[in-house]
Amino acid sequence: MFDEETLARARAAAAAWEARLGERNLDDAAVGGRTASGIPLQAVYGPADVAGLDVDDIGMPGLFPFTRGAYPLQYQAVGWSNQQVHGYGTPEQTNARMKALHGQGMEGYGGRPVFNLVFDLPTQEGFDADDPVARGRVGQSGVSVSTVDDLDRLFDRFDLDAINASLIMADPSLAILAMFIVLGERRGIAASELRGNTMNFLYNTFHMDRHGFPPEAAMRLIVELIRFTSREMPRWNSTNLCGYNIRQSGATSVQELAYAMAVSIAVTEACVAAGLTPDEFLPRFGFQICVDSDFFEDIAKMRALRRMWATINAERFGAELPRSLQARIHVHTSGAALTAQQPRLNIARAALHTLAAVLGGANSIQTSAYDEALTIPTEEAAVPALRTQQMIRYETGVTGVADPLGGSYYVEWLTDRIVEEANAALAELETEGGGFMEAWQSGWLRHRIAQTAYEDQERVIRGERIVVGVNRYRDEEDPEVPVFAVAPEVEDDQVRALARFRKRRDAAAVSASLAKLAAVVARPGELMEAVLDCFRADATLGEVMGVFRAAWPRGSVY
Amino acid sequence: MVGRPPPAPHAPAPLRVLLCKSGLDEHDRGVRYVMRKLMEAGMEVVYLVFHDPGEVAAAALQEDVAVIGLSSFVLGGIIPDADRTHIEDLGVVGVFGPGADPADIVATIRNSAGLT
Repeated sequence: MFDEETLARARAAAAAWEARLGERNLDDAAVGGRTASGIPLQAVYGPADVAGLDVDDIGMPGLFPFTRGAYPLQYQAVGWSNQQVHGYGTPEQTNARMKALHGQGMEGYGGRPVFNLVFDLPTQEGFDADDPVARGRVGQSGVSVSTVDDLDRLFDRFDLDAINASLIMADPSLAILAMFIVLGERRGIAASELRGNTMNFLYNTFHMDRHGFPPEAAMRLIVELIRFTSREMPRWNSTNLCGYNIRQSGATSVQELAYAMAVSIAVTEACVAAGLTPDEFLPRFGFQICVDSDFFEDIAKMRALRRMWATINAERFGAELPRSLQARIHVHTSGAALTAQQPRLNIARAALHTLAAVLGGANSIQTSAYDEALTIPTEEAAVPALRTQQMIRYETGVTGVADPLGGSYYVEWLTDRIVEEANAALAELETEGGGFMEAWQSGWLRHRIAQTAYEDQERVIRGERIVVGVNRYRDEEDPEVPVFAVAPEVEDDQVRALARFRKRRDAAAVSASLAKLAAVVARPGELMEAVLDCFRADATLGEVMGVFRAAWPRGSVY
Repeated sequence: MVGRPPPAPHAPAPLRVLLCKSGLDEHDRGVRYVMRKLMEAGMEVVYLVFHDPGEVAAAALQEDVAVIGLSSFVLGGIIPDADRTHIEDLGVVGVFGPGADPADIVATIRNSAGLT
């Protein structure tokens, strides 16, 4: 990047700097250090450290390989989307929170209302509110939705073609999408007009101990959703390549990046094998990335991610559309970094995480509320989290320049180093782990992530990784903060609503639609239409998912 | 999943512990950490991802465990203080939240199993 004469002068300055250190030499333990992923650092970076980088790998924002951002002007053209996760209790209760947050200025691209909705555990796993496994859990950690009627109540007063709806669930991704489409049909809105995204991360059993579909079946369902949306729903984001959950399971940032990339590659390969072309579906993939407490590593990770994705999609898959190459990144500020001890400190933590997300060029951000280490946020905690984003956007001036850290010796060096480390981790997965599908089945990935999670926790216990309020500057007594509680009558209310729903529908039509679904469940191309017909006939989420469960028994992958 | 550390000569039979979490819930980082610490403390750990609470009772009997540890995102992991008292009143010996010292968990299990 520099001519010889410039480099010689830079090296002379570095030598003078080292001489200036005196007794405090570079062997001092306090000098340098490591990133959270364990990458060893120098005490300072200069021109010589980036001289070997290829200027084409850095480029400009909005141009290949998109290291510096997906779009040329970044936030000067479009602000990031305030993708605050919310959802609890009954659909009416969550609808009230949606209205409250919307009223507080929570908005997506171009001011469009955006709702990043989390469902309770039974719903997320495809069980109705009246299922025995749902007992005690209805509405407890998200909103309870068993029917299209529930969804109608959830989106009460919101025009479906004017909003962006993000529907957070894994295995029932296809089903919740079908429910949303059928709700649109009832309200006279075509599927092609709907905007939002499904998670489609049925693959997450590779790092989570939950009951899920066997890998082959999960991948088939992932592809089926992508096939449908890429052809029928041009504005819908089909698939979340979720590094966030990988990191929350205890992976390092390097592993998070490598394994999210491995997911992208595996899903793309499965789609191509099913007859889709990469430029048909890649533009509607998006990443969800964790920003935790290593400020610069997380920024560099986002820059590295964009560069890797562009390179892989162009070189491995021959993708040509710019939209197939420019990774869009949703950042979720780390939940695991929040502390139950001295919980109000989390406001500062989440603000730093959010700032890192912005400096890394995130396209949408969820800023965690300070009480999320304890429970679902109260409204009193949810609003300051949103305000944090608004302050960074409007008060700090950091949005005035695209990629303001571009050209920083350290940030450019670290970006390049993370690409190198993540490519090595990816290569190891492909050789030693046998590739993503094999490593998912065998538990190779699961065990690797569990190991780094263990090592990290040990560092906290030993005090090597400092967490303020936990292993340093502890208070004898943690201050009381208001804790949100879901009203106990929610479960009864939802069960009663479901009983009324079951009573007034045409039971024969429901059975016929479910039987038809069972007949085509393994037939690519016919599946989605059959799922839609089930919800048109007023089948419940649990009934539809019951057909899938009968076809592919779920369980722990390991 | 069963982890068996090599038995020391003439050592008493290791304490068997059933650790479980719901298959509906994906928050497993804590329970996996506890599992490893118990194994390091010489215990045998049976790990169950269950669907129906009846499975926990059945596994406890079948595996002949002395102690059951339960991780639950809704119930606990993060357990509000108000609920903690109620859970202890139900006869649960120890409730461990964020920041719990693994040594305390090991000690509580040993105490409750009559080993001190």
